[in-house]
Formats: sequence, C-alpha cells, structure tokens
Amino acid sequence: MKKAGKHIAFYGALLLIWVVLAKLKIWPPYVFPDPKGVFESLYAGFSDKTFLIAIGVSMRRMLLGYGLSVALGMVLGLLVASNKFFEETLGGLLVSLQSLPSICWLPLAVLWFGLTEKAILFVVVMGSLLSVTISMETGRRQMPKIYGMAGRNLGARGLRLFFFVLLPASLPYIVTGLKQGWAFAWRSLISGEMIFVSLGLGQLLMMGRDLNDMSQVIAVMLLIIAIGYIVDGLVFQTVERRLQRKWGVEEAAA
Amino acid sequence: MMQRLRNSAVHHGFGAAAVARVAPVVPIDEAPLGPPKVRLEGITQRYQNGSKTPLTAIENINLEIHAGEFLCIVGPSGCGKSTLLHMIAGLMRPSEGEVWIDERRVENTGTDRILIFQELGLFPWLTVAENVEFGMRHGMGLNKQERRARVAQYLKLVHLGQFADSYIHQLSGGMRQRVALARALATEPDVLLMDEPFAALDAQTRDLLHDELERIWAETGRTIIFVTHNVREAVRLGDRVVVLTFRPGRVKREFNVDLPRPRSLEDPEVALTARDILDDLREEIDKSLEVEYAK
Repeated sequence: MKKAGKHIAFYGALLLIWVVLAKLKIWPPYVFPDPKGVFESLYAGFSDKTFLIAIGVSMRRMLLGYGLSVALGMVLGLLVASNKFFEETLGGLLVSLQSLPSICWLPLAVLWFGLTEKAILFVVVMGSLLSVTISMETGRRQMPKIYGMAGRNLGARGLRLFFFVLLPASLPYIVTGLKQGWAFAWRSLISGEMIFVSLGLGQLLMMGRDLNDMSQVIAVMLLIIAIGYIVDGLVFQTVERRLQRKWGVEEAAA
Repeated sequence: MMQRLRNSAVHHGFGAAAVARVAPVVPIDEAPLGPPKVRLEGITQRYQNGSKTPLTAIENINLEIHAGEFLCIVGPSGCGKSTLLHMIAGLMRPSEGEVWIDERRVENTGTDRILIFQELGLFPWLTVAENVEFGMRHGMGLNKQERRARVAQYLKLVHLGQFADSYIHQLSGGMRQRVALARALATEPDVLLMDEPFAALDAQTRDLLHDELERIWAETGRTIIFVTHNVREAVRLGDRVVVLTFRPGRVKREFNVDLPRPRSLEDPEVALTARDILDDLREEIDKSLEVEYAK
C-alpha cells in the first residue's frame, strides 16, 4: 500500500510539472504538447484502430523473431556449453559480436532480403540471439550437476535427458537471459521499424514526426514503454520469481 | 571409556561376541548359493590432480554383495565411498577394474540399480507423483496405467499418498527423503544404492526412516548398499559392515553384524558393535584429519 502511495505521488507530481510547463507556453504546443493533447492522440489512435493494428504487426514480428532467436540460441548455447572447441572459438566470437548494435545489421539485411518482413526479422533475431545464446550457455553451466546425474540414474538418456531434465533444470538460470533477450529484441524491432517504415509501432513514431504531430510521437513512445514494461516487468519477472522459488534457487540468489 | 562400556554390557548379560571379526571375505550364513548380485573386481580410481603423480582415490577394492543383503560401507570422508556407489550405478567408470551385476558388466546406468544421492536430486519442476513416475516413464517406458498404479503403491509405502500433487519445495526434509526412496523403489530395482541419505536429518526423523527402510527392505527383498560415515547407523541397518581406509580407499576390514532385527540405534549391542568398528575406523579418521589440517 505504502509503495502504491509513493508511486501515485511520484507520477502525479510528474504529470503536474508537465501540465504546468505546458500551460506556461514556454515552447509552442507542436514542440511541447500538453498531456491532454497526448491523451487525445492515444484515444484517437485506439478508436480508429491504427494503434491496435500497429501493435498487432509489431507483436507478430516480435513473437516470430524472438521465437526464432530462442530456438536458435538454445542450440547454439548448448553447442558452446558442451563442446570445448566451440567454447573456445564460437564463444569468443559471440561475446565480441555482442558489442555490435543490432541496427548495424540492417544495411546487410536490406541487401540480402530486400525491403521485406524477412529483413526486419533478421534484425530482431540478430539483436536477441546473442544474449539468448550466452544465457543458455551460462545456464547450462550454473545448473547443479545433480539433476543430470539423477536423470541418468533413473534411466533417461539422450534427447529425453535433455528435454525432461537438463532443459527444465536450467530454466531458472536461463530465464534471466530470456528476459534480456526480449528487451534486446524489442529495441531492435522498434529501431528497425523506424528506419524501415512498413507498419508497426516504429513506423507510427516516424509518421508522427513527418506530420509534425508531437502528441502522436509522445503517445507512441508511451505505448512502447508500456508494452515493454508489461512484458518485461510483469510477465518475465513474475515467471522468474516463481521459477526461482519453486526450484529453490531463491536463497542462493539472495 | 570403551572398555567400561563393554564391561558393563557383559555385566548385564549381553553376548560378548556380538561381532565376528573376520579377514577379507566372509561367507554369510543366509546368503543363497550361486553368483553374487553385485561384484566389485579390482576397482581402482585415479585422478589427474594437476600435479605430476595422479592421486589414487580408490585402490583395488574387491567386494561381493549377495542378493537380499544389506551392506553398509563406512569410512572417513575422502575414502571414495560415494565414488564407489556412482560406479555401481554406472554414472562413472573406474580407472581400473570392473563392476558386475548378475554376471553382467556395468557399462551404463540402468533401472536395475538406483542410487539415492546424498543431495537427493529430486526434480523441483515436477510434483511428488511425477518425480516417482520419472524412472518408469523415461527409463523403463512403462505404460500410463502401470505407472499410475505403481506411483500410488510406492507413495503409500512411504506414507506420502496425500502429497502426490505437492511440489518438492513444499515438503520437509524427511518427506523429501521419502520421496527419493519412493522414486528409487518405483522402478523396482534389484539393487538400491544409498549415499548417506539420512545425514542431514534430525535424530527423530532419521530413526523413523531407519525403521521404514528396514521394513521396506524386509518386505521387498532388495539388495541394499548403504554408504554412511556414521558407524552406529551402519550397525543399526547392515547385515555386514565394510570399513574403508583413507586415501587411497581400500577395504580395511569387514564385520558381520549378527544382531537380531528390528534393531534400534539405542540398543546396547548396537553401541557395542559400533565401538568395535569405530576403533578400526578411528585410525583412518585420524589420518584424514591430519591431511585436512595440513592443508
């Protein structure tokens, strides 16, 4: 309750400052819109469904791209974690590649795939694949060895051992990386859409700029923050916490 | 101290020769004729410990365990007793020597012998029932009906029927222990390997589980190899107690425990026998402490 009170006070004050600044008219409204204009923009966007369509398009790309990078990252991560040769070679390459901002892949993607969905997907995958791979690898290492031994002891081998023991056992260690991967994918997607301009939230943002509609720009920014927060802060953190409690790694993490 | 205890025991009319001290291999009266259930043949384990000369953890261990026997292995920490169990389970191969089960050489893990780990290794993402089901499902490939029947049967055996749908983190230490026991028994292994399973439990829970284990052993006729550092526990449970030496682990001595069952940790005969074995073990413990403190 106390925490909620603090939040209300903080965001209330923030809103108040915004209103006051806008009312003072230091800057013209097309540079610094007031909250009312932004909320009208939000309302209009949702009522004529443009925002909904944009969210739908962006989310579809996210799910596809992120899903792909999770699947690929799992395989790559396992390869690196279970093979000394790949650990020393591929492992190093992955870490160094992580310093490359994902948007740098866009020119390459456009040349390879043209102005298609595939190019955007490629950017999203490249943005999150590395962090998923690295977290998969460290997850496999951090996982207590006892689970693998217990699984083998009970007769599970090969793929069964992997899917029914090793994978679930390393889940609480991987989920942090999956969360990070999601955040990277989300950023890559939005920046990709901004340059690429073909539906989606990123394009809506650029459209706001082209129309000089600052209210819409801020409205879309709020949307992007909200979606990021809901997925990252609510979905992933809840899953993470529940996993850690159930797996009994909570005490170790604290 | 030991002398006094023994004297008082004799005074009270307990048999003086509760323990038969014997050299290497002992023929056991109740043991059935024929080949042993488990045979360890010249087991040696070396580790390349960074230094030039490899560390010999286990050296030339030869043991025969008969079907239905309850064998306890005691030794100071670092004598390789856990390693020995891992080898019988097929989780690791000895540097030299072979493990035989029923005249078949152990090459891999198998549901005919199940190890209960010291840290249990229960799967936290599965319910109690799913944990018990695991070996039957992924190791043996039994059908659903049979699995379900056996889960119910073995949960009942360890008095956990009501907790079938609980998760591991919701259970107490003693209950987890019993889940591990049920999970191991459910594959109906011929050989049950137990690695200090009760070390982390409080005295009451441990007593209770000793009784249950003894009952289950009598009911199911399994062969049990039980590793512990607690000599009294070994005497309480075992038909035979094997003492291992400290690094390299070798068989120092074997004791037959001919005390009537059911036994209790508090039985004076158990205490007396344990004293005798402890005398032998003390030397090894001292050696292990020397090494420990020299570090």
